[in-house]
Parts: sequence; C-alpha cells; structure tokens
Amino acid sequence: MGGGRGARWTVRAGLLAGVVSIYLCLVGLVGTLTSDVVGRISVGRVFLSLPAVLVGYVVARPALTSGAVRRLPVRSGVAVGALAGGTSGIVLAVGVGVVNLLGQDTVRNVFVAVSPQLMNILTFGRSTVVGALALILLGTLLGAIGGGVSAAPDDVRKPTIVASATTLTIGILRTIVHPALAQLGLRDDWLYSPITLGLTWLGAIVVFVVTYAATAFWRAQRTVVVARARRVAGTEARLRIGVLAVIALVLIALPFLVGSIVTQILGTVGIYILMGLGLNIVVGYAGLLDLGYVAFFAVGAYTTAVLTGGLRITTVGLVPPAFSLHLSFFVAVPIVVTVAAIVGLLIGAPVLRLRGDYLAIVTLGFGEIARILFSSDWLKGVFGGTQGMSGVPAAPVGSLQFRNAQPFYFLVLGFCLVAVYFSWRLADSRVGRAWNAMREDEQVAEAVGVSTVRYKLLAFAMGGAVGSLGGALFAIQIGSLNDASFTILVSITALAVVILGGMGSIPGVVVGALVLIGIPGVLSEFEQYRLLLYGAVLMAIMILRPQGLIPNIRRSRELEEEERAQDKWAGEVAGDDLGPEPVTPLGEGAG
Amino acid sequence: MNLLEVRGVSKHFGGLYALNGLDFVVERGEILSIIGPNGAGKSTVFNVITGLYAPDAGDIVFGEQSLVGLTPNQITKLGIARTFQTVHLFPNMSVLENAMVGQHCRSRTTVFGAVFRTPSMRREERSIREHAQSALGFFGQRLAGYRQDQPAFSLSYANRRRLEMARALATEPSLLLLDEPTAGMNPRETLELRDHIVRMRDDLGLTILVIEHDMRVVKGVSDRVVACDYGEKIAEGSYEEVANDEHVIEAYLGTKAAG
Repeated sequence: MGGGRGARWTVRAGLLAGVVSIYLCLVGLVGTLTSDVVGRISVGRVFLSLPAVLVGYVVARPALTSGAVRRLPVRSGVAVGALAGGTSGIVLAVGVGVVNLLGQDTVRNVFVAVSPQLMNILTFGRSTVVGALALILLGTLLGAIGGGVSAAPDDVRKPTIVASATTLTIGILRTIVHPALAQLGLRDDWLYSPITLGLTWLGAIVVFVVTYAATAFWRAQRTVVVARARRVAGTEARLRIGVLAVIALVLIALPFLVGSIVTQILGTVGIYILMGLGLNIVVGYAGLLDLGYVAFFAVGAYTTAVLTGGLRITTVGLVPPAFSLHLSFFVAVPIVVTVAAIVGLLIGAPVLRLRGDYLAIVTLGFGEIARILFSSDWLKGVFGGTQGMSGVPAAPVGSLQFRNAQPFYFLVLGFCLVAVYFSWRLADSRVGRAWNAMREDEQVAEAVGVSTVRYKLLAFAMGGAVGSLGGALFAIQIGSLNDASFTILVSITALAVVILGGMGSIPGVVVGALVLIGIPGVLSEFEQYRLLLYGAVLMAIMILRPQGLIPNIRRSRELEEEERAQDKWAGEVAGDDLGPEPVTPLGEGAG
Repeated sequence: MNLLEVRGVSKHFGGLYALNGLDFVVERGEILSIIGPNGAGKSTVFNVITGLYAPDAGDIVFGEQSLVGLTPNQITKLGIARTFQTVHLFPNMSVLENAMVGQHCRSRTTVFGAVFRTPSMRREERSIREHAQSALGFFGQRLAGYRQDQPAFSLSYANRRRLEMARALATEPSLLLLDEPTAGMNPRETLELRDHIVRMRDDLGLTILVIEHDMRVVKGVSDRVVACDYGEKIAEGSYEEVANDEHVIEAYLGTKAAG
C-alpha cells in the first residue's frame, strides 16, 4: 500500500482533493449547474465527482523511485485510489457536518452558494449523517475507479480516458450535437433524453463503447492506417492537400450543421483568433509582452464605425459624427489596417527601450489610454463618448447581409485564413527569424546585425494590423460599440489565447480561442465562471505544459526525432565531444 | 595597411577607467591578440568597437569610416563580426537558423516579399541558406548533418562556441573579433580551434582580433600581440617581445619588490 510514495502522501493528496471539492461547492459550480449530462447526473455532480476520480488517478500513477519507474498492479492501484478518494470524501463529509452545525443561513451570509439545493445534492436528499456516509462511500468508489484506470496498462488506460472525456463532452454539448444531427436527418432521442436534455444511459454507453473501440483501434492500427492513406494519396503533397480539403469541407459545412446560435459564437471565436494571431506576432514571434493589445481592437472597431457611417448615440437619438464617411466595409478595411499599423508605430516608439515587466506595465497603460480616449468627452463628437456608437452598417455582398450569423461566419473565416497565411509566411522568413532572434536575446540580435529598433516597430505595426481586423469585424457583428467592450479583459483574454495554445504557434491560437471563447460561449451556464476557467486553465498550462497545448510543431518534432538521428549519426561519425546538455528550461520537454 | 584604428579611446564607468586613451591598429590580414590581466579592459575594447558602448573620448576608424555613433547592427553591416566571452546563441532556434540570422544584414526581404513569396525573395532565401550552411561547414562535421535542425541549446559547449563563430562568419565580415574563443574548452578542442582561427585568416581572408588567456593559443596564432593593463597599452610587438616585456611580466606577476 502507499503507491510507492507512502500512505502519508496518498492521504495528503486525498485531503487536498477534499479541499478542492469544498472550494468547487463554495464557488457554486456544484450547486448552480443543474443541467444534466448523463441520466440525472448534473454538471454540478460531475464537478463534485471529478476531484475524487482525479486524485485516485494521480496517486496510482507509476512512481519514479531512485531512477526506476514503478508501476502498481491494478489491485493496489484500486486500493490506493480508494484511500485517496475516501479521504477526500471524508473532508467533504466533514464540511457538510460543519455547515449543518453552524446552520445553513449563517454560512450563506458569507458563502452565498451554500443553498438548500447544494446541501440537497451533497446529502443525496437524505439526512446529514446518511448523506455524509454516502459522500465517503462515493469518494472511495470514485477514487478506486480513478486508481484502477490509472494502474491499468496503457492499452486500457488511454482509450478509457478518451472515451470518458468524449462521453462527458457530448453530454454537455447538446446545443451543438442535437441540431447537427437534426440537420443530417438523424434521430437522436435514443442519445439525448428529451426531458433532462442530457445523454440517456443507453446513449452514454453507446458513445463510450464506440469511442473506446475507435481509440483502441487507432492505437493498434495507427501505422497501418497512415501508411494506407499515404498509399492512396500517392505523394506526401497530395496527402496534405487531401487533409486540407477535408478541413475546408468541415469549416464550410459547420455553420449549416450547428445552428445559428453556435455559428454566432464561432464568429466571436474567429474574432479572437484574429486578435490571438496579431498578438502572437508581438508576443510569440518578437517576444514583446504587450498587455494593452485591446488598443488595436478599439482602433479597428471605432475606425471601421466612423469610416462606414456609424452614428453617435446621444440623448437626442442617433447623430452622425463630426467626421464620417460612407465607405463600403471592404473599402474601409485596408484603411483600418493602415491606421492600426500607424497606431502600432506610435505605441511602439516610446517603449523601444523597455523590456519585460516594464514593457508589460507601460503597454497596459496604453491599452487603458486607448479606451479612455475613445470614450472621452473630448472626442465625443467623433466617437460618441461613453454612450458609444450604433448603426454601423453591415458589410453586404449582393443580397448577403453579414450581420446574420452564417454569412458573418464566412466573412470571419475568410479574414482568419488571410491572417493565418500572413502569420505563417512571416514566421518562416527573414523577418520571422529576425523577430525570433530578438525574442531570444535582444542585444545579441543587434550585434549580429538585426536592427532591433526597426523590427520592434515592425512587430507592433504588423501585430496591430492583424488585431485591428478583429476589431473591424466586431464593429459590424453587432453594429454598436461602447467603451465597455474595450476593457483590459480583452487584452488578457487575447494573451490567454496565445499562452494556452503555445506562444508562436498558429494552430495553438486557433485551439486556444476555441477553448477559451468557444466553450464558455456554448455552455451558457459557464458564462459566470469564465474568469475562473481562464485562471484555472492558465495555471494548469503553466505547471503541466508551459510550451502550450500545440507548441511550435516543427520544434517538437525535431526533439522527438533527435534520438533516432543521433543514433544514426553515431554510426557515421566516430569520435566526438561531450553529448548534448540542455541549459534552457524553455522549449524542453516538447513533444 | 590599417583595417582598424583605435585612436586614444577612453571609456569610464563612474570613476573607473576601463579604457584610458587606448591606441592600437589592426592591419589588414593579420591576427592580432590582445592580452592582459583580468579587468584590463579587453572586453570593453570589443564592446566599444562593436558599438555596444559609446566611447567617452577618442575615435575608432574602420577602413575610412569612423564607427563612433553607429549602432551595433550598422557596424556589423560594415563588416565587423564578433563572438562573446560567454556564449550567446539564440537557444531555441535551430542551429541552421542561428547561422541564417547572421545573413540578416546581407539580405533585404521585407514583409511584402515574405508574404507573397516573390521570386527574388525565394532566390534570396536560398542564398541565405547556402551561406549559412557554408559558414557551418567551416567547422567540418562538427555542425553538419542532423545537428543543423536541432535547437541550439542541445549542442555541447564546444559546439556552441563553434556555432557562435559560424554565426559571426555568416555575417560575411572582413574583421572578426573573438572574445576568449577557447575559454572552457578541453586541450584537444583548444588545439582544433587554434587551427580554425589560423584557417579563418588563410582560407577566408579575414582579419582577426582575438582576446585570449591561453598563451599557447596566443603564441600559435598571433602575428602581433598587444598587452593592456588598466585600460592602457603597456606593450606591443611579436609574441616573444611582449612575453618578455618587463611591464607585461609586472602586470601579470606584480613588481619584483612586491614579489
């Protein structure tokens, strides 16, 4: 017993998981998220169960003792997991007891989330004592499951994890899956219960089994499948074109499948992909930590509004601003991008000598300055002050109105593709290399011949130009603007998107935006926990995977192939100096 | 003919004179070593020549042009490349990319060219790659093959030093400044590097200014030696002349009375 790390460690992990459970209860994740995922198991109950399962999983992981990996037999895994899970259950039960002792009302004075509903969930509708015992039992059971899966061989463990995650995801994402299936003409009343709106037990089991089988098959037959795809495609280039064609098809079909609400959210995701791509140039490529990126978002949005004929909101109704043009959106965009690039130069020029923290703080200030300027009384005649602007015309192409969700989605998609191409080409060029060199070591880059002044300004200008596209689309998405849309939160969100995906990685930005904007958007229940999600996700990323979800692909592949190449090399060349000795923690552990 | 002239250069940090009216010239095609005890101002000379520090007094003339007031990247473009006392690479970029950055000042692709892949851009990219590979190729098999695609941080210490030199070579300099190139290398690597320094002059036609502590290397490579102490030149001449100079011995070992 003890999982190779000792019983004390296991119990301590269990205590921690218990505290996490109590935290989740107190912030309301357990009590208020009542929609059902599977059967009558609500999202809240899933959150209540997660810590116990996870702690069971973690304590039964193979331990590294004196250089050797020690795997637990499944039976010990179950036992260790049960101990940890049970401990967390005890902590939770004690918590319930304390609340009962103090009285719910007293506790609710401080922790508003401690509702009768929450207590009902925690005690399973029984008395406190029975409920507490049930919590301990449940914790033990869940911990045991987590531990068992964790100690199981990889051929069982990995498919189980994938299948469980998929089942939960599909359970939550009825908003997307249900309309998509309906569009395809498929019945789904066996999958989703029309009453609870979650998965039926049958549906859950089918999803689990199918995903499990698919994952297991992929694990076993992966090389065969890939080889066959290669053979069918003929050349590597044609395979790549095939993959791209499939992706394009999915992107085009998506808005017709998922319904207009989700399409609307995808439009917002696209706006943040643009913001992320722009910020990625500044932060990811050039290494300049810009916390005031919202400035470009605001410039893009307000410039678009003024150029296309948006109206000021005043107490006497909508009034044309002091300066106004009635350009078509597509004519306005190049002007907007140019203006944003110039603003990038203006912001970049005074901060040329600043680095790191100092740069971050000053740019943070610039972001606020931009918001305050746009909403100031001084510029009220042009930008409408705090009331903002309204009536920004949509961008029509023939009879298509881009304010509707689906055409807007395609407009955003088009902009995103342009921005992706732009970023990708820049990264793999003399310009991108100069930025990377500057990010790695500014002084040395200068000494090797890179004009750091020039390339810093260029990064701000290019990053601003791409980001302003996001602002321009935002302006026509809803047609009205005010300063509430341009708070520091936008900067933080864009930065979180970049960090989550992996700095300098274009696919990373896309995934980051999907996770951070898409998930809270689709799961409207989560809306109020959006910031909690950001915080948790960022902490997890920093601890578990500092290089981001999808790090710089080329580099991680290099690291993977390094060993093989080295073996080959050793055969060819005899006699060499010391082996590799990585010094920088950055970039290590990729792949 | 003089390639570089350092004329009465002074540089002080607060009250400390790192350089005090230093004078010396580097002739085209020679290997000149600068020696001196720690704190003699050797690295400061490099930093002043390459524009990292501005001199407080004096002038530095490269060819016909004064370097005072130019930024480091402009000086690199004129044809002066350097390495650092402690290795400074771009650790997360690949070995080849490190060398390709060296070609930056010899190329001109802009954002427009990069995005639209113009024919001239592609031609230039090819030439950048070829130049970088030939710079890496100077060190034979050490920086060849699969290593070129690895991140620079994965290289061994000696290879990092070699890569730093290759990156300097990739800037196509006429004058190369090496700051303690053999520091931290084992005797075998030191010997190999000594040959490389000589070959850089003989095969690549470079003029080389080198700071070095290892007297075997100084003796092996130098056409002339300049000895400094307290930011001033105390001796100049062939290795034998300088090594036997009274002032030099005094600077390293102290005066006879004190010793």
